[in-house]
Amino acid sequence: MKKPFDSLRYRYIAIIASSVFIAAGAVMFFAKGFATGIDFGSGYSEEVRIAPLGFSCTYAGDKTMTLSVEDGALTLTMRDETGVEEVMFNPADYPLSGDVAEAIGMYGVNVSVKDPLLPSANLIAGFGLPGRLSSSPLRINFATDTVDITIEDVRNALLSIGGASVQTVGKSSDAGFQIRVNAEDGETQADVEARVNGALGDAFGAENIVVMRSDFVGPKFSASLFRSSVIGVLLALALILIYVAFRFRFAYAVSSILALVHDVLAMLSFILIFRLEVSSTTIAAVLTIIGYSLNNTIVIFDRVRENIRTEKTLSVEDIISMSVRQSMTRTVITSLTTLFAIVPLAFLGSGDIQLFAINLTWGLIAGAYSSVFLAPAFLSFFHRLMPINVEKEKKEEEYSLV
Amino acid sequence: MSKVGRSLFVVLVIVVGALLLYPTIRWYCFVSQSIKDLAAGSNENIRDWARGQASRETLVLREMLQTDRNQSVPEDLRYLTGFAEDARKDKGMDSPESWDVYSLLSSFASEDELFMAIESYYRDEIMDAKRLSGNVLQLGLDLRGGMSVVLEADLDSFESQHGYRPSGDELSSLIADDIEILTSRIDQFGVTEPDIRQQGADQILIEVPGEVDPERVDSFLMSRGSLAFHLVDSELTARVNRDYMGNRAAAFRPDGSIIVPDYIPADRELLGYYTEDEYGIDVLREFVVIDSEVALDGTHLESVRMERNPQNNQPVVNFRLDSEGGELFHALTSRHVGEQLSVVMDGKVKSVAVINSAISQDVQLTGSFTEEEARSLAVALRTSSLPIDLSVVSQQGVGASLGTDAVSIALKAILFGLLLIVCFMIIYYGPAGFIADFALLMNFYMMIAVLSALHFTLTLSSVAGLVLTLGMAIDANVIIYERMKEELRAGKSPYDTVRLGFGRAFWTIMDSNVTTIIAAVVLSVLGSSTVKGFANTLAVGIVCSLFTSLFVSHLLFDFFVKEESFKGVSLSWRRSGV
Repeated sequence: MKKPFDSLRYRYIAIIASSVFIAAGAVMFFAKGFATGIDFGSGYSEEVRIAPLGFSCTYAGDKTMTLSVEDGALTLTMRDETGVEEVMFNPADYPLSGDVAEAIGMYGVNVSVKDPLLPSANLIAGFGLPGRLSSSPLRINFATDTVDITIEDVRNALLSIGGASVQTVGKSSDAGFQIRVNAEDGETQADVEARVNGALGDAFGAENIVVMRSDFVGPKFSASLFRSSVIGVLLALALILIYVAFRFRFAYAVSSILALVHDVLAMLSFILIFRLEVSSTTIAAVLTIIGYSLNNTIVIFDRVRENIRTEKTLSVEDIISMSVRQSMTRTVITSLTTLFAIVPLAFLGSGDIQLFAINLTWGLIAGAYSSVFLAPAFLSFFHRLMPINVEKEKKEEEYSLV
Repeated sequence: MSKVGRSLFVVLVIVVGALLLYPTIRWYCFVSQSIKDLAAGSNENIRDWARGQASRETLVLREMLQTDRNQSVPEDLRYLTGFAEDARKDKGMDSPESWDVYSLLSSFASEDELFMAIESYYRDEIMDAKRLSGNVLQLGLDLRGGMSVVLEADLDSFESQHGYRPSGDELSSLIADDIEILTSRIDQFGVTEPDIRQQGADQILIEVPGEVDPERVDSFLMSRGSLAFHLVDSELTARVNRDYMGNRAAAFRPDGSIIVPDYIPADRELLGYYTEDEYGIDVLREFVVIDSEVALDGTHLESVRMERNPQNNQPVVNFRLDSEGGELFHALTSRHVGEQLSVVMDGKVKSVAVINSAISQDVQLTGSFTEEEARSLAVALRTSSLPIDLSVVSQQGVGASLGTDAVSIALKAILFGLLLIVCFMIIYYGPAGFIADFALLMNFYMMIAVLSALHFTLTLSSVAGLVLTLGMAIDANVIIYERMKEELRAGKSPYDTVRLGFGRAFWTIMDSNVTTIIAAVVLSVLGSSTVKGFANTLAVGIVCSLFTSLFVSHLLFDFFVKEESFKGVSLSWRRSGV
């Protein structure tokens, strides 16, 4: 006959396996730290418009020529010893980019026209404007009125950079995007900018990229916010400890909290070992596991408590094994149903959601494992440290049986 | 409780859920996009728009009266008959059977009254929509996008207050303090899950889910506006009010701006004196003509408090000026005793007071304002509690931080996961699986209802958390069913099985869920907004799941399993039912 399943027999293997895994995580932590996303670390943020080039201007003459934008109209300011002259090219008078280019050309500016048919009212006043004309071309871009580039195109263009977050800015026909990426150690703003714009240029043509604004951004989570979350978790653990100690016994409380700590550590190790990015959803995933895996453990412990009352002849160890066995189907099914909900996301989702789902999937497995193999082992250990007071137990039974 | 009573209770819960869901459903399904866009504007925009509508329709009606006074009222102006009926009732006049333009217009005492009726019609429509939009389940930044605001530290104002320009570490610590204050202010608006970070050396980038609404930016920046005291030109003020107050239609252009009459000289300015009405919208009280020259700049304010006048218990605003401001103010007030002084903020007159005597540092503003007004005035006067003032550099809409197709794939995956659970329960537990699935759907319904009543912001991670909670909710049914199976194997009757299954599983489910609730509540109190949003979903989900699994599915079992009969509900497809 096959021997009935006894999780306590595997306790040392389980403890060693878990310790090795967590130790590996700890090594990764000290060697490389967390792969923090832009939510936690600082990074680079830029706002770009991707719009076709209308024309570009160079100037080789003696005057000081400046192009700027005033009230939506391109304005040419010419300065020399004799004074200042200002010409505005209103969209009403010069409806197309070609008209503006031609008009500017009249003032001795060398204009090379790329697309003369763009509506001049859609002039983009980005980086470089106002700008002084010189031998290096100053590019003037105009947005189209149609949606030519979607956020997905931009995302795909930035795939090589990794961890880039893209948002649309303004109307979709504006093709304006807010891009955020992580800055590597020691990278300057110019380095990251070159990296991002290089990738965008490869996809959409370098002359069509207009940077509206760029900057380093700080983390979304300041240290103090993170600290208050950690304090929250610790306080929650303490209160759970008190509740379980009150409803069960102290041995149960310590064991369940230890199993919980294992789950969190196992999850963090997983994230560290597989270099998963830590983002704001990671916090949510860890919290979920704290809530969920405790659930599993408590259900098993509840069975242990019940069996200890009814099976007076068996040893505590046997009772724990028996209880784990009895609630096995339930543990498997509940974990399964929850995995049903989350695994499709881990496969089909993308970005943050996928990370969240992967973290959770691992957390659920680790949680189920710890409530079957680790928590009962802890319980039997602490039971021995704090043996049951049979008399007290009997009394409790009298008033707790509903 | 009897079965009937329990059923009634479940029905009651469903009805309450429907009531809680109503605003959300109304907003997303029955409010037109143009109304939504208007409601996203500031109160001021709404006022301007309503005024423009009113002046346009007043003109239309006037023209119709001239062409043919007996033509019937066009369909789009029919709403006015309601106002006309009320106006007639006040005068003791009967309403006509059919309304023509003449009978409609003659109901109103003056064109001004007509103007105000039209204005209030449009204002109420949009203000209702605006209030509704604040009361519904919102989608978060990652799902729908929102508004992005870039704020910049105002180094000039810091320099004028402290005498030097901060730089380097000091500036970044000032910005960090500002970020902390802004975060707590935004968090006070509920769980909006904003995204706040420092940008560059002296900027703050804020992204808040929801429509671009300048008022919301103002509400967390509180006061960033310019504040100054100006002398009032009472003669011109009286003349403008004589011309305009009886005929507001002539005072505004269709875009809502004030038409400045020719007789106002260049060194005078015509401004509106606004007080807040019960809708929280600025209402024009009268027009004020002020001296363009600033009599005293608001930067001289040191402290501001809202207090009550001990004599008549009227709210007053007390403020204290710095010594330089005190001298200036004393010089000013001693020269102009008996004249009026106005407090002007962001181009609007907020308060007008008569100078009774020369005052130096301690100033008391009395007026016929309500406590609410006095308080908001005090808040406005208190230039800012931010360590360094901020000015808005840009404000614009941003799209969802996840791509639209990423969102739709994720939602499909979530739906697929739910379907898997539902099918699994039916395959594994047979007919009893249907009961569990019903409880699950009801749990989902209740959660959405409660979350929408709490004006929750749904982000993708909270949607995932919601699904996870559903996965956990089904656990409660699994625990009960597994327990029932054991009782059944022990040879109990179907009725006893149900009774014992629910009875014994009760504390198991309670204990395991209470621990989770403890975690959720603590995190909801202590956590930052992301954590808080998640914790609230979890807590709501667990309470709902306790109800659906322990109460609703128990009731359903009781309907199918009777004490007297030996029939039960099958717990699997094998022939061994409960």
